[in-house]
Amino acid sequence: MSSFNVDAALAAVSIVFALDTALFIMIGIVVGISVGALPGLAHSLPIALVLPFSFFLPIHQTMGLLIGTYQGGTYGGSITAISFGTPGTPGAAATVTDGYALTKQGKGKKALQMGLYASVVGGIFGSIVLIFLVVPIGQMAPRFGPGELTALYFLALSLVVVFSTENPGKGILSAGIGFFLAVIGRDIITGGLRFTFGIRYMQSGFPLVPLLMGFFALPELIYQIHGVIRDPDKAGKVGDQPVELHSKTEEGLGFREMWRSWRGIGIGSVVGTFLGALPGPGATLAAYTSYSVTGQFTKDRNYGKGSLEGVAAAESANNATCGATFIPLLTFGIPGSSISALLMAALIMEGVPVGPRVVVDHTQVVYTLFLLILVANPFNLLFGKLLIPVFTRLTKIPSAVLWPIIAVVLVIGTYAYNSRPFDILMCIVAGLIGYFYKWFKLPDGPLILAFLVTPLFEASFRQALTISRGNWMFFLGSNISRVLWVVTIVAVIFFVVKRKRHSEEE
Amino acid sequence: MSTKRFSLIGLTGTLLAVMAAGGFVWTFSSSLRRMELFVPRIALGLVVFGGILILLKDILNPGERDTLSRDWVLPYAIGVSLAMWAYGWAFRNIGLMTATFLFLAIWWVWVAYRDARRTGTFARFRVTLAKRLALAVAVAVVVQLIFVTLLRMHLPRTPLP
Repeated sequence: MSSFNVDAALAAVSIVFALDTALFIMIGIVVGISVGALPGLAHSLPIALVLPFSFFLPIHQTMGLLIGTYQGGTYGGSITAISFGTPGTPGAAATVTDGYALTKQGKGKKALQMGLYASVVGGIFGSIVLIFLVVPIGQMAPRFGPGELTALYFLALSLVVVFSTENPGKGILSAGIGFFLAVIGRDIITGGLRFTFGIRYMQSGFPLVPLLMGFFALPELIYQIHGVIRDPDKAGKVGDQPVELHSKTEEGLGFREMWRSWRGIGIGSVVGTFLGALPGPGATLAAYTSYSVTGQFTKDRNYGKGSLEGVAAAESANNATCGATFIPLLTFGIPGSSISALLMAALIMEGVPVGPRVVVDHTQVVYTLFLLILVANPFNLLFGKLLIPVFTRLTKIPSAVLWPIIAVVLVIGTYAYNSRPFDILMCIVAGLIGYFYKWFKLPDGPLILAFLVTPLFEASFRQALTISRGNWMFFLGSNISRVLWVVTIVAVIFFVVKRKRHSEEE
Repeated sequence: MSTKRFSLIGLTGTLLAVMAAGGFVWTFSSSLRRMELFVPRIALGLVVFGGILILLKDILNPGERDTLSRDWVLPYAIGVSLAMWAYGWAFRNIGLMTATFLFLAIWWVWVAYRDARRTGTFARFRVTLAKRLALAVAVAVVVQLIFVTLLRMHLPRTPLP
């Protein structure tokens, strides 16, 4: 956008600030939050379901509906992550640790509000960056070739292992297991079968949604059912005693508490926007990376055990990706995630050929999209706030009643993902792995991050080696790669030394 | 906190390291190509390295041992897993609504009966039972409406597990 087109901007304003557009954004937000809050139903599902509307609705209504669903769904995943320790969407997995710990301490309302406010701030930040930096960042993205991407993914993996735990052995072990689960299935280049053990369904790899659902939800389910059977007097509500004590007086989030989490919100917004603008990483990786980075800078001693800043870091990052994911989409026609691929399909069906010329040829549409993304955030805040009490009340339901219902949703949600009974089995296997992690107190971040990054890392790594014909110096071939490798080494040394000093002081 | 030189934490770390080392050695006899095995070897190598670090920490710093969680009991894990698998099998073969109702009703009736017997409040048992069964029906209907009527989830009969 070399020059600002005033006429197109004014036309976009008049379209977006119309009643019908607002109505479609609202419907999208409510559907998104509700579906996002259902574990297993990724918010790509409602987006896919409303996609056919683009055949007969005008573009501003279709995109309002889709963007509303996208933003609402991204936030909605945090509701069950905080209330029940079960992420509604993969992007909310990083919110579980601190969010659910806060619920168990009777601070579920604060955590939900922090999740909402951080999501909105992250979403607005990502939208503003999209508006102002769409061209400069878009021009930088193609410079990330296989060598640079390898260095970038290596940086992300190294930092998560370093940040994850007081015991580096456990962090490395956890990452190793994540790496291993990710390589199961067909080799991405040769198609050779790796560790499928003759099971046909495993050829497409360990499925992501059953892994996340089982890994996070099943151990908690086992724990709660164990509580109901072994000690029925103690097994009350999800928030146990603290919720009971504060049920009538449970306070909301204060401005000071919100302000104290500025680091988490700031880091999350920046990390989420940056990673969201790159094809591949997505909301889950952004949330985990932000959560890990914030962990190193926070002064909150409860970080990882029930910290509002932890919730803020993860939630601001995953919502910041919503706007940023449009950067490669609008500038180069590259969908960074499955959801942006659906949004791209909607634009194409509306007759907008997404690609480098879209800004010039369809300036008004681009401005309309910018405004829709920006305007969806206040609606997200409004409806999120209205729906929080509904979901907070759910945490007061007795465990014996609530958890079997969650088990039902968990099993059906896992099955609905692909209509494959095998996925239920994989969910259970992932749950048993999660159970082992809880028992052995292994950090879950490295496993999930390694699982997500490994296919991307392996693809870029092997592409680089193929292009360079096995020359390893290729990984240091550009300034971006060299900077990323130096940042990796310096960051690892810095944080290891810092951690050692910190533990010596204690 | 254990005072032994070699605790269950170190033992578990060692066991994982040995298993991963076995897998690592096995990759050299695999028919897969060298590049296909590159990342799997990194994965197994990391597990070996992590397991050894856990063992070393366990031996060298016994004072820093973090106790393992005692809340997690294996029989419950197996029981819940089996129940979930059985429910997954049931809704494909006897219908989503029937399976959901049965799954919830069996569990809630048993819990209500146990609570009534434990506290000696059988007077309220029937009321509780009626409420729980009504809730089970409501959940089953909602689940049917969302997943079958609205989302048209495919539920083929698969009698074999």
